Amino acid sequence: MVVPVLVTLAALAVLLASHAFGRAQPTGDYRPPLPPDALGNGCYPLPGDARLDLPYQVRSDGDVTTDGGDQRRLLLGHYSVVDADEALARLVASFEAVGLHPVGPPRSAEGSGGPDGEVTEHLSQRLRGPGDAAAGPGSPTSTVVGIEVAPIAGTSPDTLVRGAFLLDLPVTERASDSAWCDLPASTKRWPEGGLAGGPLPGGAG
Amino acid sequence: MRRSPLAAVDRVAVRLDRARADGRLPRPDVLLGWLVAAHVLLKLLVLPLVIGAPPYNDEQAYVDGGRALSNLLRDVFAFTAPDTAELERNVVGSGWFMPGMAVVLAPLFVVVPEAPDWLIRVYLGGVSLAVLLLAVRAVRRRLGPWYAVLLVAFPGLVPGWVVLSFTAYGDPLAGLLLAVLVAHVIAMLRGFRAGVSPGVAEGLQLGLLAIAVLYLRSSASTAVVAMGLVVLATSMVLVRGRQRWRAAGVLALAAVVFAVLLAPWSWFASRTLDDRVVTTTTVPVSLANTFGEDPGFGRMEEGPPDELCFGPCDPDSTPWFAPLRYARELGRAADVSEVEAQQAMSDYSLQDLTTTQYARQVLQNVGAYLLIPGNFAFHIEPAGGHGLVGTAGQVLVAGATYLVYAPVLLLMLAAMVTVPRRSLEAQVLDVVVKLAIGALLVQPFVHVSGSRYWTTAGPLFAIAAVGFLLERAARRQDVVLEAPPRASSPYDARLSRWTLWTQRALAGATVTVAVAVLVLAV
Repeated sequence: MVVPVLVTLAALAVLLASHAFGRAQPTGDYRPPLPPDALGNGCYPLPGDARLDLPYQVRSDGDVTTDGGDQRRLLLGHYSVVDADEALARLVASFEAVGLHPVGPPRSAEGSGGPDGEVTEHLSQRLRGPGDAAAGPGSPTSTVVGIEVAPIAGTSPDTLVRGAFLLDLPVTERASDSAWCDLPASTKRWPEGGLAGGPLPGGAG
Repeated sequence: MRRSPLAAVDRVAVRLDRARADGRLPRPDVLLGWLVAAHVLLKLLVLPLVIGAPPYNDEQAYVDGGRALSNLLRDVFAFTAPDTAELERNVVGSGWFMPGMAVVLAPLFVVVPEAPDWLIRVYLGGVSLAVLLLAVRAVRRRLGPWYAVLLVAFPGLVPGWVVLSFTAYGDPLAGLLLAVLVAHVIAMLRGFRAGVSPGVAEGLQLGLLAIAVLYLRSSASTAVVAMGLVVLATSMVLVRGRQRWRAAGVLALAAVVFAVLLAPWSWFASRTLDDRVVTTTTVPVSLANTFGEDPGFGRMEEGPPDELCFGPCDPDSTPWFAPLRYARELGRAADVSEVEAQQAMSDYSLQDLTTTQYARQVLQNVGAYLLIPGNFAFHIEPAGGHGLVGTAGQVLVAGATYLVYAPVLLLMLAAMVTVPRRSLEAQVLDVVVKLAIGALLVQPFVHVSGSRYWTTAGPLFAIAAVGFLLERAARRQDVVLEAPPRASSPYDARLSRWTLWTQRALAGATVTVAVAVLVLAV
């Protein structure tokens, strides 16, 4: 009976004194902080500081040289919860809110592909900035924005993630000194130039 | 019989059995002492190989959990508010691990907050020795000295197990406590056979053992549930009248102890991850990681399956952390918990899984679970690896592990498809051990497996293997009891029917599952 009591008392004494021994420093390595969203970290803003008004995740972002020799920024994202029509409408509205306006009606095209060769419908829409509407050939196209949306093969209205979108944007300079801007985990600007598997499921993008 | 492939096994079994019967073996308690000494010596020999090793992979999470829990104790006893954020990040983290090993490590960090790696190794080695000795004592009391001897010999003298006994992984300790739990269940069944309800203390112990196993290794939950069902079913079948009500009360007590001790974890993990988390959250992503598009061991090193993140995951991270980040981003974007997001990802990536792919991966998992028992000798090493002598030591440890482990594995596999009949007591032990092993081996069907997983089932392998040897010896010496075995009471008659039926079902199920997986994989 004596031994357990003594052990308990000793343990209590150690515990009561323990704050004087210092503090353990867990590394937290197994729960890294979640980096801020690529469009919320202030690093590479959208034209007009547009905010995308739909549940989205940026998957990759980076600059490419088009066939015509122009530099363009391509941003690939996934959208959740809403269907392709609504996703396109919301993306268009997000840019309209900062003064861009659609050029012509939304277009629709069949894109084959997906891992199982499923045919998915690609919706697209182009927008222009206010000054570009009347501009003739040779005028700067820097505020032209292209939006393309397609469901991800194998998803259904019950799936949380529904599809992917590709934004065709003017090249954006880095706009912040934040350390996040150097971290691909946040900016999704992968050194290799994007995720494997093509920019948009279906391959039309 | 003489020409049977089992002739060698039979010779060993008969010789051992006669030596025991003739008193030519040392008394079990003397043998126990020698084996414990040998185990301690083996630990001292292995210690130099592992003492300089920094935390390896998941060990980091357990060690950080221990540090955070020590700070919690510090704060509670200094009457200050605990650092909830630190606890959430380091104890719950992503809900991947139960906090049992963090609890084991916390006392070290209470006393030495900045304990260096070598001290963590020494401390863990000491704790595992203490748990082994306690388990040996508990098994000795419930199953007798020979089973205590067996527990020290296997896994205690398996070098690969000894390496793991210096790590922050909960697998070896969970295995020891699971062996005690099985012994405890056997002891309770012995009481049921006499028509007697277990006492309150036995109920308390049942609940405590079950929750301790679960805290150390969440994947052992299947075995814990199986043991609970065995006790429940046998008590209701065997115990009658007022004793049955008492038995029901005692089992309810065990269940309450289990639930009350699980509740703080479930509550805190659920609160942290904003979803219902009972034990851990790993199953959806591990299912997808294991069985998703184009799975395989080679790929596990490269990255997660191509469809897990509704397409490729971020290329800068590992198969576990890349999907986690996607799930957290998805949760943030779609306003759901990361647990729900992981389920959605898993469902999506597994929708095209074929039975062939599944069966192949199960085979790989079973192989990793059972066939590379010494691998951790190469994982637990100083940064930069060992020199020539240390590397030789690692090879020796891994090789010696195979030598000790392989015969036990083969005998265990033989036991799984054998129906022993030598005595009712032996049958009961056999059924309970096989149920526990079978429940543990569910894991390779849902989770990628690794070379430390066998340690949770290891002590039970030894019991099953020796059971097979004893059965062979009994059959060779024609001391087999007629089937069904003689019943000494109406309870025994009933129990005998049940065990025989269960044994046949288990052997049949083992063969069926094995054949089905093999056929589907080809």
